[in-house]
Amino acid sequence: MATIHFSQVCKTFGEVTAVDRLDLTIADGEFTVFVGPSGCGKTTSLRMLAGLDEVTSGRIFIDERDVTHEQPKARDMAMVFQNYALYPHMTVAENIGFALKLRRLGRAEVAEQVSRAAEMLDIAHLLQRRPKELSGGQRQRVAVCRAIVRNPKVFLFDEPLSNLDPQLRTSARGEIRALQRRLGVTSVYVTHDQIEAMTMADRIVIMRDGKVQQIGTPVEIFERPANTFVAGFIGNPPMNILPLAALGKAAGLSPQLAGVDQSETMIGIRPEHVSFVSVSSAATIARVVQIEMIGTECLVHAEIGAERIIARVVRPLAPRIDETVGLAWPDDEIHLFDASSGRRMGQNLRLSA
Amino acid sequence: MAPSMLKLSRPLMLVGHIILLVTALSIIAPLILVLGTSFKPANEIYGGLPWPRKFTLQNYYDVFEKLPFGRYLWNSLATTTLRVGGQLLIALFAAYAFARYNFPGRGLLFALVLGAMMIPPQLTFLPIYLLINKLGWFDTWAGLIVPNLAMPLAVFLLRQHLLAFPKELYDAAAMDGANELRILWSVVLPNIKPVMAALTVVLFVDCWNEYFWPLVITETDHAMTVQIGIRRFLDAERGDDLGPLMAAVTLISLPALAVFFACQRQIIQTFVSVGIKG
Repeated sequence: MATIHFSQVCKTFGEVTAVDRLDLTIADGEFTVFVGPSGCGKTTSLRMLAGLDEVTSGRIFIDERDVTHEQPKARDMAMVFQNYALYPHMTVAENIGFALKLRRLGRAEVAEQVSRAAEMLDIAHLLQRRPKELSGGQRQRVAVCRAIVRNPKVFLFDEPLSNLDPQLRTSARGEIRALQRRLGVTSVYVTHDQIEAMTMADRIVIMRDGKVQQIGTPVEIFERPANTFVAGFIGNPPMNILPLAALGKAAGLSPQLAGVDQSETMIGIRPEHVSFVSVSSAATIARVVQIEMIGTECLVHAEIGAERIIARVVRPLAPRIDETVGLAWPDDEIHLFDASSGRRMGQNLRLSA
Repeated sequence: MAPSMLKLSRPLMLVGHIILLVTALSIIAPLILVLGTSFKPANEIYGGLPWPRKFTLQNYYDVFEKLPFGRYLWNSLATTTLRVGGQLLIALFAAYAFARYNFPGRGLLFALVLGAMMIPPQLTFLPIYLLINKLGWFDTWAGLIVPNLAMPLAVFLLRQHLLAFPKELYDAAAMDGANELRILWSVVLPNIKPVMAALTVVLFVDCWNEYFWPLVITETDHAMTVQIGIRRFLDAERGDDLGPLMAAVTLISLPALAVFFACQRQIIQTFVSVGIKG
C-alpha cells in the first residue's frame, strides 16, 4: 500500500532530455498506465521509480518518504519485465522464491509462499521446470508470480504483454487487472499500446518526447483530449484532425463555430461520428477514395479537397469508391484545437462542459 | 550434425584427412615415446623399440627416491590452484565492472588492459624480479603466484561474454533485492559456467607448464615447482637419467588432464551451443 509522488523529475542522457519535469501523484491502490510512442520517456520514468536509473533532478516520494537516491532494494517494489527476465539457471520455484531467499526467510516458509502465489496464477504444476521449457504465456505468469510473491508496496510493469500473441494478450491484461484489484497494490504500468492503456488504467499518463501530454481517466482522455497529439494517439482509427478552413461553408454554418478564427483552428472529429448524408443537404462535400472492411463496420476514406477524412460506419451505410458524398457530424462531438500550439481550445463550447 | 556443414569433394576430403592424420601423429608420437620410455628398464632406453620389452615401474620409484618429487608436486599443485583461483576471481570482478558500468576512464583502462596483453613477459620479468626480491618473496609461493594474478586475456574474454549477458537479469535481481556481489554470485556466475570452465583449463595449463618464471624465482625445495625440479635428472657430466625423467613427465601431465576432463562436459556444451547459433 503506497502513494507515489513525482516532483519535477528530469532525466537527461547527455544532450537528450528523456523525461522533462514529470509531476505526478499516484494514489494508494491506483492502477496508472504510462503510454506513448517509443522514446517518449515512459520506460525511463518507470526505471527511475524503480531505482534502476538515476534521477537527473527532481525528487521521488513513496508515501511521505524521499526515495530519490535509494537503491531498488530499499524501495520495496516488484517489477515485471518486457522479456520476463527469468533467471535461466533456476527452476520456476527458485525464480519465484529468489527474493524471499535473499530476505533470509526459512526454506519451509519460502516454499509455502511460493506455492501459494503459484496457485493464485495457476502455475503450481510448473514449479520444477526451467524457464526455457515454458511457453511465452507461462513465462509471463511466472514473471507476474515472482512480483506478487513478495507482497510489495508497488507493482511496476514494463510492457509485460508485448511479447505475447494477441489472443493471450487480451486475456492476460484482464487477469493482471483483476489480480491487482484483488491485492489492492498501487501499480504503474508502461505500454505503447493505447488499447491496453484504455482497458486497464484507472488513470492514464500520455507522454511524448519526455513531456506529459495529458493525465486523466480513460474516459476523460477519450472525450476531452488536451491536444492534437493525444487526440490522434487514443482511438482507433485516430481522430480526424483538419484545418477548420478546409471544411468550407460547414464551418460557417455551425453556430458553435461563430467567432472562431478559421485560419488558426484545427477541428477534430472521431471517425465513428462522421455520417453520410445527401449531397444537396450537406455542408461538406467529399469524394470517397478508399474503403476498408474491418468486420461489421468499414472505414471509408474520403477527400475534402486536399484533406483526408476517415469515417467509420456499419457496412450497409457505406458509399462506393469514387462516389461524391455529403458529410455530417453532431455539433457536440467536435473538438477544436489551436493550429499553432495544438492545444485544445474553446472552453465555452458545450462539448467541453 | 549441422546440416550446413562444409561439404568438400572426395579428393579434397582425402587430402584433408591425410593432413589431419600427419598432424595427429606428430603430436602423439612423442607422447607415446615418453610413455613407453617411462616403463623401460635402464638398459633398454637407447634400444630400438618405442615400447618396453621388459615392463618395469622402477623409473616411477626412482622419481620419488632420487628427488623430493612429492614436495615439488605439492608446490606446483598449490601455487597453480591458488594462482588460477586468483586469476579467475580478479578477471571476473574486472570484467563485470567493464561490462556493466559506464564509469569515467573506462575506455582508457580497458585499452591499458589490452595493451598489457601485448607486452612480452621477457620485457617485464627483470623489473618484476627485482621487485619480488625487495619484497623478500624470492623462492616463495608468493613470488610464484602474486606477479601473475592479473590476467588480461581472462579479463578480455570474460568481458566479451558478459557484454552479451542480458541486462534485464541484472535489473530483475536488483529488484529482487540482491546487491552487486549477490548478483555476480547467484545470477551471473551460474550462467557463465561453461566459459569459466574453458578459462580454467586454459589458465591451469598455462600456469602448470610455466617454465621461465619459476626457473628465475625459485631456488630450493621450498618453492621449486615440479617442472623445474625434474631438471635434476638432466646432468651433463653423469649423463641424463632418461627413464625417471620420462616417468616424471608422465606423472606431471596427469593433473592437467584431470582438470581438462573435469571441465570437459561444460566446455563441450559451450562448443555445441556456439555451433547451433553459428
